[in-house]
Amino acid sequence: MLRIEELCVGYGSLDVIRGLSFEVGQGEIIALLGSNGAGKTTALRTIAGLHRAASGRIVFDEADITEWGAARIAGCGLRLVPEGRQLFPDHTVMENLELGAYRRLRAGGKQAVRKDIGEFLDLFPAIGTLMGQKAGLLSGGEQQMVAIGRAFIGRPKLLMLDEPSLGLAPILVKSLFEALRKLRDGGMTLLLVEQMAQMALDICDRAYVLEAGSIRLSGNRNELLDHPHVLEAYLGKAAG
Amino acid sequence: MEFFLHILISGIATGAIYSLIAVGYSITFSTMQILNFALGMWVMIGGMLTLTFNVMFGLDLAVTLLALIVVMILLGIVGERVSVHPFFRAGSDVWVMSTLAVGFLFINVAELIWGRNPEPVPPFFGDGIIAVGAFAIFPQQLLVIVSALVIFLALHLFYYRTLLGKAFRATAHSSEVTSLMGINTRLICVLSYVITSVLAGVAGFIIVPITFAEAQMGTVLGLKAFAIAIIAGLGAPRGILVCGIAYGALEGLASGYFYTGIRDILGFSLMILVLFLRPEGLFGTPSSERA
Repeated sequence: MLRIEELCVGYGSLDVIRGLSFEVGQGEIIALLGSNGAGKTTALRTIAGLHRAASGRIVFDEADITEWGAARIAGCGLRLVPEGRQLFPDHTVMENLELGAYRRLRAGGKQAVRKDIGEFLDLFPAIGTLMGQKAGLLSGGEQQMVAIGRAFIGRPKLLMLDEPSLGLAPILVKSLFEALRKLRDGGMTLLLVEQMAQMALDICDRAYVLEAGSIRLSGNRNELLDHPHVLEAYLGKAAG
Repeated sequence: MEFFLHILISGIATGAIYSLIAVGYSITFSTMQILNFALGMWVMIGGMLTLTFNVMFGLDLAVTLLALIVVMILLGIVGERVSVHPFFRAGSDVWVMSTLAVGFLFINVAELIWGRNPEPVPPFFGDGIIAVGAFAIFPQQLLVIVSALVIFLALHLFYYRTLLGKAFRATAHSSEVTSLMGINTRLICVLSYVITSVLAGVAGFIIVPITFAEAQMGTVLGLKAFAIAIIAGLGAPRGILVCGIAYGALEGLASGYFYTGIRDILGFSLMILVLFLRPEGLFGTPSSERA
């Protein structure tokens, strides 16, 4: 579904991503793991069209989207939930969700969007009473749920999440990851960037470990959970 | 009392026009972080088109307004493409000069086409006065006030009740995040410039019977509207309406009871004072409080 081929991205003379290649298949949850500065966020932002690639290719649904802008990429079904939620704080929760479904609503899909909002509220019932509330007044956990909902309402084929657990209480992180699993069970493909490696490895099918802008390790969940480097560097456990 | 009411109402009518122009600064600043510094010259184009369509061609007012809106839309699209987009895209601030250059081009072209002499445009509803006791107002002044209120209400409904308006507000907050929703923020930027252009044109249409049609008719208006946008806060359209009307009323009273020259001193002094005490404007939100 998504194929990254030898992607290089930089800021000025600084290379952040160096020859990154990976694939995401239909219906998978893929985790991109790595420490701060490894290039995970830059990778997602480049895929989402917010940064230009210096070289390499991004192929989504067999279309080369490397040169596409962010709006066009989102429109073709590849959505990013950016780091820090980035809701529109002066818009209500409902308005944030409507903006997530902007293209669908413009195309006259009001009924379908209403149905999807119902589905989103089944997933995150706590948001039901907050629909008229300004998004900037919500707690961090509530904002994260709305941010995911806003992307979900757009009915993406592939949802990318950048550090969804950032700043959330452990109990909220657990329910958030449970919700992500339910999204996958509902047929959505997910690409997850996460520093909480254990949580990410618990729900993903496969993972890539990014270090200094390129892939250091890759494998399925169980392979990486047993890998000495992952155990030591990302899970804080002694190998062997 | 009669004199007081007369100058107060005149001032409010002038203030309503200032507000109408000033909100144009707010619209483009919110969505694109740019200002069309020559907005007053765009008002002049609206006045000149009214002179041409209504007085010279003899078209009725509704057709004149419609034709004017079409021309202002086209000018807005071209103006944005030529004087803003290339520089905005390159992250350059040259748009400050390029928007002004377009304004001065408008003045020169207007002088070439329509000459330098002020041309009268008859009031839309005659010269009579609407009087109720001590309260008296020219129909054109009433039209100015009502039009400004209706346009502000329409803008409010657009921003808060329509999906496109909500996308405008989202773009004002973050163009990048808005684009992640699949929303074409480039189109939103062009539309915001076009709306500003149309509002300026409509302002010119409404006031030209009061000011006369001439190439310089919008220059001072645009500058005062800019002062009001700064006093109210560039991101506060409702504040702009309130400040515009208050400014107009204050200006009217000051020039009525003291001397006419005080009008300009008053406005720009107020702008400097507000910038000094509250840089975000009286109704603006400090940048540190924005999420």
